Amino acid sequence: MLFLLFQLDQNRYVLDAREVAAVLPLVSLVQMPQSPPGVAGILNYRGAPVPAIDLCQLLLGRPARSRWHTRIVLVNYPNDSGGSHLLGLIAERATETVKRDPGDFVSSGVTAPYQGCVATDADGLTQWISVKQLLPAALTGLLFQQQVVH
Amino acid sequence: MSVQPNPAASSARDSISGCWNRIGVRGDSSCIELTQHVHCRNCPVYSAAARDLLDGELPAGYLSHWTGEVAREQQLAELDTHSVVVFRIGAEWLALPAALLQEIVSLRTIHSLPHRRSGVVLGVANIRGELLVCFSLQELLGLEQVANSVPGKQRMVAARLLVIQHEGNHVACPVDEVLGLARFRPDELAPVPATIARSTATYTRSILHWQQRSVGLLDEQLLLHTVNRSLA
Repeated sequence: MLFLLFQLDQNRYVLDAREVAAVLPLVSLVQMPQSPPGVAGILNYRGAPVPAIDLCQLLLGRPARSRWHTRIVLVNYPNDSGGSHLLGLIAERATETVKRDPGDFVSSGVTAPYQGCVATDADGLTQWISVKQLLPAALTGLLFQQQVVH
Repeated sequence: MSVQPNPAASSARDSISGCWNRIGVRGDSSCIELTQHVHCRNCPVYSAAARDLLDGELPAGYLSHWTGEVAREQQLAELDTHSVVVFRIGAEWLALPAALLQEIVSLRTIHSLPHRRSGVVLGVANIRGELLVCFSLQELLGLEQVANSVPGKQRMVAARLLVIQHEGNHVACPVDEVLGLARFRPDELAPVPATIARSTATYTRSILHWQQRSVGLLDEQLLLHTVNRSLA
């Protein structure tokens, strides 16, 4: 199975490549007034507005740095009606894909809202992030409202 | 991309103590990892160093360039394309729809048929144990015999036999050279010039400009109708 690997500080995370629609370079975002921390803003993707989440802010509590390796990963975020919305995830060191056996990932034993399972290899632990569980409920409601308005 | 190279990245590049320059393929090749990776480019140390180059500040203009680039409407790929096989007969570049061709084989002996020693039908050739009628496109299209500047042996190397499948019938025709497949959109075609007086014009649907050549796109229906008629 193919995963998109990214690294925030020393922590390595993977996303299921099937959930990824596109990987974009870092672009300027339109800030949303009074948005909760973690929501970086809105980007214009091929003429359509797409909300973007700063994974660094969400997972580490600091904004993502402006670097060459900082990318916006567009994922298909499933909604309740069976469809999906595009959602941008700003991630540092999103530079490679890896092939891993899904069986390598085991439950970490820690209940975190965004985290699925972990796998170990020579470079340490890799956490598999599920797009569906990524966002806190409050944030989900806010983003979906945004989608409806547009 | 109009963004200038990042000065921070290039200074980082200078300061990297490249083991590949000392003990790798650009050094004395004494690194023990080389037995496993053969070349430094396959080594994880090398790719990790490459990734570290991305850990530089973004240059001015990078964000605005990519913001504009990402916001632009995507040009949808053209789907209505046609594919033809381009070949040469004498000095003429011609093309037939790729779907019509069953295979392209090397030129082989064409055995002439009794009482059919001239005209469009050349004879029969053995292709995978099947005797197929060979016809001459040159004769059919009324192309002139050109004095070929290429020596005979080379000419034979380039020559091929096109096996054409049409409504369950197989026929073959020799050509001097097959150039390959061309893919085009209908709007790339140009009309046949009215000044062409030869019978080529009758069988040519349109002209395709491909790789600095004018390729005549043959009307396969008319062509095969004529071939079938001449077989009767």
